[in-house]
Amino acid sequence: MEEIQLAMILLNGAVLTLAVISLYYFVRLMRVIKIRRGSILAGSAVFLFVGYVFFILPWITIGRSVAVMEQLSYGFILVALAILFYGVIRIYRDWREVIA
Amino acid sequence: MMPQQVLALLNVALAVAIVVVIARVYLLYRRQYILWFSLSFAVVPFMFLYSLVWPLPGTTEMGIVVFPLCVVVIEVGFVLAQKNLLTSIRGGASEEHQMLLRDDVALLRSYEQVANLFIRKITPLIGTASIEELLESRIDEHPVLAGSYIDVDERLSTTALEEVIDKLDMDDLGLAFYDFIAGLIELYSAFVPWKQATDEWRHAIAEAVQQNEGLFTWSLPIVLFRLVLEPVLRRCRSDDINEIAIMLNRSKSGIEIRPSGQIDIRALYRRSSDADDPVQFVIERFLHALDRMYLILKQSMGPDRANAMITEYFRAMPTNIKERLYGEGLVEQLPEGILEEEKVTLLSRERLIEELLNRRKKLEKAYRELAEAELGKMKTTFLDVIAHELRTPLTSIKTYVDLLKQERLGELSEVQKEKLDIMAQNVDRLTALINDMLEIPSIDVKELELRKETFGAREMIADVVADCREIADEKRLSVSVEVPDALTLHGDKNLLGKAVKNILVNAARHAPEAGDVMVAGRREGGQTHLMITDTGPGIPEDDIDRVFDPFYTGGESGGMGLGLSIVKNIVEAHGGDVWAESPPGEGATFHIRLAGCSPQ
Repeated sequence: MEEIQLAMILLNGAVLTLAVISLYYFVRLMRVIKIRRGSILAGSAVFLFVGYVFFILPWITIGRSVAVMEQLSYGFILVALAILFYGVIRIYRDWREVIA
Repeated sequence: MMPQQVLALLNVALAVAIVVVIARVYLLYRRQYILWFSLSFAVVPFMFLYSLVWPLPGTTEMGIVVFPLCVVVIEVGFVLAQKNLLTSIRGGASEEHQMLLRDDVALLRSYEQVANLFIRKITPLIGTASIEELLESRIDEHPVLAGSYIDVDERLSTTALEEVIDKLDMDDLGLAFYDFIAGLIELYSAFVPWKQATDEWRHAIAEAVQQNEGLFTWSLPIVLFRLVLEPVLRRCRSDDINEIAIMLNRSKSGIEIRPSGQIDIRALYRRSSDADDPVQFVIERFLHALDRMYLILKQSMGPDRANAMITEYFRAMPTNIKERLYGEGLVEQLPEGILEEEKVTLLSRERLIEELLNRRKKLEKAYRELAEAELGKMKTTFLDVIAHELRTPLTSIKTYVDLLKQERLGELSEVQKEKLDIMAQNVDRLTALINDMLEIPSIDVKELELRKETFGAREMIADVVADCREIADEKRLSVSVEVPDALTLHGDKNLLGKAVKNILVNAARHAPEAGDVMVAGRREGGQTHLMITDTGPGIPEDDIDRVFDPFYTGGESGGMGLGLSIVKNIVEAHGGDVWAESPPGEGATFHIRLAGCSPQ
């Protein structure tokens, strides 16, 4: 196993652990707070996760990037960020009405 | 640049945009957890650093670890932000986060708030032991409360209920909290006068409904039965209370009256939760109970005193609940004598609103009519002034052009004569256009005075054809007239002649060199039908409905597009119809059908 693969595995261990912790808090939060755009945020997270998997998989398995996979990954992340951007804009507009 | 680098750049741009929006949210609603979110997203652009710099000299493959490292940092930020938000909501800062709370959680918080208000008052009097005992007895009776407890701060804590709120039946929870809070009031009233306890209950409910309007439905049975009817009952003689109790307990109204005058509304809570409209259901039950109670009270203490007592407790109702109940139409349904002043006020208010609405409608109508009249008048004046101001200098130009052409002001060369001819033609055209313009407003505003007479159609058409001979000759057109001698028209000869002439000029203008223009006429029942056909390119199908619109030229230059509009006005002023037909490739035919022509 190459050095880079080892680094990636270790880092992804941390990434996954934190993702689980974050999900735990997210679920707890959703029981208490109402974010009307919650489904938008969840949709964005799904695309983000798929994008991340596509990106990281070649590095862990063969120790280098595969151009097509990287493009696919960035494409998914782009979609995720676009959805997220839309979501935060909606949240901002909702809140502006309530707070202002 | 490679495709992944382009994508990476786009991602960076989007991430920056997201950071900007979140930063704006932070500036609007300065909370620590939003700051954590902002910081997390601020790291996102760095995830794509490696892809953007690769394969620049000095970048090694190990540089890719920046991607998962950034993700780790982002996730840490997310966890901290969510933890912070959760802690601050749990930490009793519910007022600050009211807008974030889910409706069911907000309702639970409101119940908790009302309960704690009384716990705070009772604790110094009797300590927490009795309150804990009361809560435990209610948990036994209402398992939905399981998980709530009196914490070290001697306050009711419902954090555990929030955790499982999705699994709770909110109606059961409402009933359980009513029962618990009613128990607290009982405890409290053992130490303070009952009136004080109910006053504070009113105040607590008013405050809770103010903060969370969702609490209105829950608070309605308490307000109507326990804070309006019950105080009246408690002031009655025990005989009256018994009589009322027997009557209401028999009528299955959902309430039960105890010998002390206390009203048990638990059954009402259960029934109202099954109703389609719980508010209306509670109001109906209340009116039903009041009707029966009122009968006995009137007999027992006289109508005036009964009215005064009920009115007094109605008026003591929390203002926000009272206003909403008035909006639900409760006051109008109350027995005569109760809240009479409010009824008069509400009725006169309704009448006033109705009167205002009527007046507003009338004013709007008058304003519209005035605006239309003003607009019509302005249009007429404007066109008259413009036409007059243009016609005066044109007359002068025309005179001098004629003098020049006749060489009365000196000899002219051939070229000068030619140019003067063009000038004269254009002056004539302009004069004709202005005359058209002057006719439009007079016909539009229906001020046309028709000088009606009966005349021969053929004679009139012959005159018109003669007028147009010059134009026809220029294009070597063959103009044929097929109109029976006996065909007559009844109307203003000059205006109808102008209408036919406008169509004929239009036909001549569009007919090809050496083409044909045909004018035909026939009688159809009691009407005269005239047809003017040319062999021109015809009218596109899409435009055929618009040819009679003012200023419609069909994209051609050479006219203002008023000729056919004038035709339409003249024919319609005579009560007739005008329309055009244009089969593809067969030129155009204009039809005029005049109604009410009396045959000679």
